[in-house]
Amino acid sequence: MIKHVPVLLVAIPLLAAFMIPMIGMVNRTARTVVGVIALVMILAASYYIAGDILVHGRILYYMVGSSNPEMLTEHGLTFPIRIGLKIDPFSLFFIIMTTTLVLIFYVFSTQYIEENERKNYFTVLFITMVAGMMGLLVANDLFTFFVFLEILSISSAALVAFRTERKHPPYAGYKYMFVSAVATSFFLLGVAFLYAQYGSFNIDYLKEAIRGTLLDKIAIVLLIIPLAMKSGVVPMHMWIPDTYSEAPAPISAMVKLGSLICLYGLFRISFSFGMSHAHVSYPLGVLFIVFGILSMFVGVTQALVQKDVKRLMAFHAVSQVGYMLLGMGVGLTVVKSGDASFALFGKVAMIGGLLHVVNNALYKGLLFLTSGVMVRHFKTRNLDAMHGLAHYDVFTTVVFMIAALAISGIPPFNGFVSKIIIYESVFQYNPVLTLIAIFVSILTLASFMKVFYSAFLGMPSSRRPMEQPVLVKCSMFVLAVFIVVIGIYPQGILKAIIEPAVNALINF
Amino acid sequence: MSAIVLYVTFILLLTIGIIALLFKRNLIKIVLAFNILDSGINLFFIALGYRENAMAPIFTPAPLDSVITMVLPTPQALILTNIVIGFATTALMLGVSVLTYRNNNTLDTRKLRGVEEYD
Amino acid sequence: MRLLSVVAIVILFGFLFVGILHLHPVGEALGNSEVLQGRPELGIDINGVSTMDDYFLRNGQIETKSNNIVASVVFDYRGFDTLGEATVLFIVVSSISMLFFTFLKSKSIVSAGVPPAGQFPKIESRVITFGSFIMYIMILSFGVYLVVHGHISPGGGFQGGSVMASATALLLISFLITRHMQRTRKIFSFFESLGLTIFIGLGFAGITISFLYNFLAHTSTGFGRIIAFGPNQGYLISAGILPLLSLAVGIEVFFGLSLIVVTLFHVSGVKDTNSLR
Repeated sequence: MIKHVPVLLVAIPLLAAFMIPMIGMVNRTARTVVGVIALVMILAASYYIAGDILVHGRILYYMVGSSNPEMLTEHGLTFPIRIGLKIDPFSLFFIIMTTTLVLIFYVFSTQYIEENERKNYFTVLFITMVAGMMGLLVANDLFTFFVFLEILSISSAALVAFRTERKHPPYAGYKYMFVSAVATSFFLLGVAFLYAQYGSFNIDYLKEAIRGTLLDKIAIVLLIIPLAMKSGVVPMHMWIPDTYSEAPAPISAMVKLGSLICLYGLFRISFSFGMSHAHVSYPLGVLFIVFGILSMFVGVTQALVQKDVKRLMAFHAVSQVGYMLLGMGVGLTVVKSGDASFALFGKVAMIGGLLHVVNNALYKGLLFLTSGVMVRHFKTRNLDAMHGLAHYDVFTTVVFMIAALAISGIPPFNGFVSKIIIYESVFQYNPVLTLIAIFVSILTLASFMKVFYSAFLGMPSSRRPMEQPVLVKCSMFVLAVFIVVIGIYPQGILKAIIEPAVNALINF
Repeated sequence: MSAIVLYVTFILLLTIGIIALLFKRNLIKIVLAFNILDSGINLFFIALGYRENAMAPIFTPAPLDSVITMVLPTPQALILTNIVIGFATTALMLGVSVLTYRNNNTLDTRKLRGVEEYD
Repeated sequence: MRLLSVVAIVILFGFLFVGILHLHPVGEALGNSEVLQGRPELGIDINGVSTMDDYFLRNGQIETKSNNIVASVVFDYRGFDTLGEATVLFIVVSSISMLFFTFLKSKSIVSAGVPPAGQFPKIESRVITFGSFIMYIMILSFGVYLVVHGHISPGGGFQGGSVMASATALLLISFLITRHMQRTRKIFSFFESLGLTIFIGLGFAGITISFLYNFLAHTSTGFGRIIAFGPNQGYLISAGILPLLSLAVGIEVFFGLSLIVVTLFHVSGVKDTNSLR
């Protein structure tokens, strides 16, 4: 059964999503349970294959619809004719992260979103969003990648506009859909340029065939810019604040996870097509570093002046993407340079960048969930109107402190580990970049001090204390535990998952 | 070589779409602009698989010659997918703009800009 | 800002212009253009096949037993994309239902131009109702024809399904199904899910070999009927699971698009929006 796992990761959520409208007509509890079952199944599947891939170094290939799905080409051909799926350590790292986090967010949303018939559609769109993410992560075919990118963005856009009775969410959904539609159109244009030359969509085949001509460079730019746009890199970040602040809290976390998965696509495509020639990989790496520095700086300076708690967190999301791009960009600039600099610091920078991806997903998800709890308690998003939550909600205060200290890079938590790895390795490439990164980190701490001071400290508000539902508390607690565990014992995840992932990306 | 007009039309459609996307302020017009852009890309993809004096890749109506020339089938299949996706995007964007109008009484992006209220 | 936009457009224009100058000329697509006929042996022939499309043109008919190569690409070779595409449609139908939820639940809904139950609509006349009923049957049967013959002639699930959904729009504008809106929506939603479940169920049916494996095409009777290479009149029962997938997609598209049309028609009749907030 292990050979079918790549397709099952996509097909199980899709099957659940297709059946939910029929089940929801009969029983609402059954509908929620079906969603949980589907998510638990893909979680189990991803852990089931983890040992085989990480320890034995096996790479799972799957040709959908072929009579021998593990064989890349049929009938003695030199090129694949069917849609290829592939799981290597790099995608497995993202798959494990995604399946774990979506289950937590789903559990959070079961009690956070009020129960009515509309929640049927919420559940459907949530599960299709997961299917879109899994499709992006397993796809080894550019057009399939495009289709699942659309699935992810259309379901996210609808969920962003979930609270239609309020004034702004529909427009936020429109904005997100507009940005996604334009981005994916240009992505398709890039796919067309590659197809015109090589007659194939398979990423592995194109990687071998690509020659680094002018058309290839145009195609690579057309593939990379849309993905950078979807992951919220600075010159293209205009959709982020509205989208994250208007969506319900679990959906903000999910959209954030979706943008990290677009970042996966960015890395996968740039390392596949850029690695073959040094005159492609070096400018790409420099582009990543420039994007990264811009994102870090613009994101955090915008966040400092916000008074809306969710907008503030949205701008921090922009700023955090910069760290990952910085780490991966430094790796990409030196990977083909030929001297010892890659072994010296390039690989370490990439490890730091990837570790920051999972850390960021954890604490950013937790921050969005706590912001949902805060907004629900105070009935407003304005920080000036919030005060004194710490007096009666100790649990939320503690998890918020954990997340805020983690995002600012304070030692016992996971943000510190990845940031210090990035600082040290980037320092050997260029000390100025490290200085900027440390400065941004300090500003992040300042901005979260502001949130903590105004929302949690101060006089207790006159509102009646509200007890959080048990599943809401549970999901936040699990995220906090992950943050602390990775912060105290990072060697485990570094050795087990991230090093094989980086090796797979380089030797891919 | 007169078929180069297909590529030129593609570029024109794409440029018109982008200009309208950037300069139009009405939400409905932006949706239309996106549709123009999308059809430009569809045209480009189909043109990539075009062969002169070839027929559609369907054997039922094919002539009984010894050699038949056919256009490439994959772009056609993919464009079918992209048309459906474009339709879905359009439907969702129009639906959301209906709601935007009901909540804000305007479709003008200049008036919609800025989410200042913290509700 | 305006200047920046102009510069961006000019750069993009130049970018694409340089791109198409380096592309192959229109009409000279990759690969060998000729499909040779009169091959006596019925096996996969990869001599002179240099690209994916060449392979489809020369061997698609023998391998998938479908005359329509586009259909075999859509449903067989790239069936996974088609699953994704059907999912996109499903998502947008669910989104529209979710977004207009408050509109559909509101008690104060008066559909556009429709009088309360028990009264004759003002526009209703024998010509309109009878005429649209006749047209409804004709459009529907044309759509069914397109769906069922998708593997033989141009057409298929998506095209036929959207033709059928246009018949629903005809019923709406001739006021035949404006009442019982909730029940109509429930039935449509049920059948839409059913169509998709059939599609993915057919995918799972071949999971012993691989997902979406065309297991019926590898028998030699029934849906696996052997078809000679080259032009032929085509058989309705052929091409393995392609007609079944096409039918499933047809059901999904028909009911999904009808649901969108019905919902948006319903919403357009809601006059009093302030009561919905």
